[in-house]
Amino acid sequence: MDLIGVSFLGGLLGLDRRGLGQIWVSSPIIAAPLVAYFFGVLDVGIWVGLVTALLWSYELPVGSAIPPDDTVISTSAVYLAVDGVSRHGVGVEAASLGALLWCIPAGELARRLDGGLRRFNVALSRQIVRAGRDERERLLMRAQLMALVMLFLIESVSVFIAVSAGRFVLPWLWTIESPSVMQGMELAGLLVAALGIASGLLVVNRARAWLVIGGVIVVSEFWAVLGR
Amino acid sequence: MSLRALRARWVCPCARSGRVLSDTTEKRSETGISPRVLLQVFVRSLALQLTWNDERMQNLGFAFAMAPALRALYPDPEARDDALRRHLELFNTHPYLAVLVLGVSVHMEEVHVREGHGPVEAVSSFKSGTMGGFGALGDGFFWGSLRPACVTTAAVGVLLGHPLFAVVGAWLFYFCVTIAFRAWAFVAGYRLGPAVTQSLQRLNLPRLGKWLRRYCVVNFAVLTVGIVWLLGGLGGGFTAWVLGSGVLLTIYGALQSERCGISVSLLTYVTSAIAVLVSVVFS
Repeated sequence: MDLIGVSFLGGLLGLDRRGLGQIWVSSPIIAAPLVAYFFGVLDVGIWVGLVTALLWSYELPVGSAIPPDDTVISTSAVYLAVDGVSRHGVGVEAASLGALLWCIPAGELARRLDGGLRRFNVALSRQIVRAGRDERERLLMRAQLMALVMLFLIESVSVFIAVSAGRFVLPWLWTIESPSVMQGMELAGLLVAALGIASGLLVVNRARAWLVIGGVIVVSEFWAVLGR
Repeated sequence: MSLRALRARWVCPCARSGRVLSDTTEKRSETGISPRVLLQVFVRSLALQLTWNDERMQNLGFAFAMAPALRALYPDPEARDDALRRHLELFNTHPYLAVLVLGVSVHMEEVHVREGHGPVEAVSSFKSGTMGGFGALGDGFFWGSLRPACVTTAAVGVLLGHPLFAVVGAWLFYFCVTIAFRAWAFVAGYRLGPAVTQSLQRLNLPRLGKWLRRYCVVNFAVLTVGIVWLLGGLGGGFTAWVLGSGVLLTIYGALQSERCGISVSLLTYVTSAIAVLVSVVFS
């Protein structure tokens, strides 16, 4: 799958976020493995998908809030991570984390563009409310089609920008031949997964959940030390 | 009562009250709301948020979804246009519960046309009166409980060595539950009208959500064990203590930071930088 293909797929998956269906195929846990499947490196897709889904689980689309576009982040990060793993021999966690860090701004870009689209839709709404009897239904259908096309373009262009720029910049990172930096990236990958757990704890908002997790960590440490 | 009559009156096991609209097929064909029209409304509801806007929010999507039903109910273009304009008012609720409001709106418009009573303003009152409550209900259950439960189940499944099965299974479960709910909500809303709120209450989504969130905490605990175990692979003994404490500090620090409004994106960069720095300094 090439650059155009992954951008097209990202655009299609991104439509599910709020445009069409909302059946959760835009979720990073589906979108990322789906993209990775085309490259035959499912591990990367699953790591990126799960960590992205957990990290932004706290940012809910409640009311007029627009969370960062985790579909754009995960689909573009998978493409770049697969590039790092298959062409430069980087470890799965290090490549996935590096790609994820690169693609976060693309998610923010898609969020801003979505906000702009919502402001544009205000003009469409006013036009339809003020329209004459004979053209109202036609304008309504036209507004839906326009919004569909624009949302698709926002998603696919954001993926395209992230991936095309990443293909030039990230190989520089992959050529760092310092084992300590690569080990640091692997450690960072696991700590970022822990960040995802924190994000998830805020969503579920159960009292004393933090104490449960803390207790589990202490017990696990004892087990890790005594078991060796 | 014959089997056919029983089938015509059946709504769902949850419904104990409410007027069943479609008692006879003759009355349905009088108003033109056929199953085909209802299917069109339901399918269009899947694009409810496509034209979400800052001013009237889901109004365009709602009117777009209602259009086939209004076309069937109001042959007169002027009356149809009045009805369409009615549904262009401000409306915003959880997308999965919006289909319930759609069903109720179709029901109330049909009652108004068929029986010639019931002020049409009642449709607007129902929409504005329920959208806030339904929004909170949907956000709390679907976004705040069911989704995290599916994500954490998938994560635990990956940790236990069944990645594809876990991910596909989690998505399938979510898809089946939500599509079934939306289909039920729409049909029940259409058949029962405003009385559907009693059926919704009987589902007790807040209580279900509470149990799902408890389940999420258990999954998070398992994931935490997994992370500490994976970190232990990077070094044993004292190193495991340090790294385990690092996980503890990361989670605690992130909880406090996110409560203070520091974004998760910034935290991701900061955590990664600290981890790489620590690895370089102590290697």
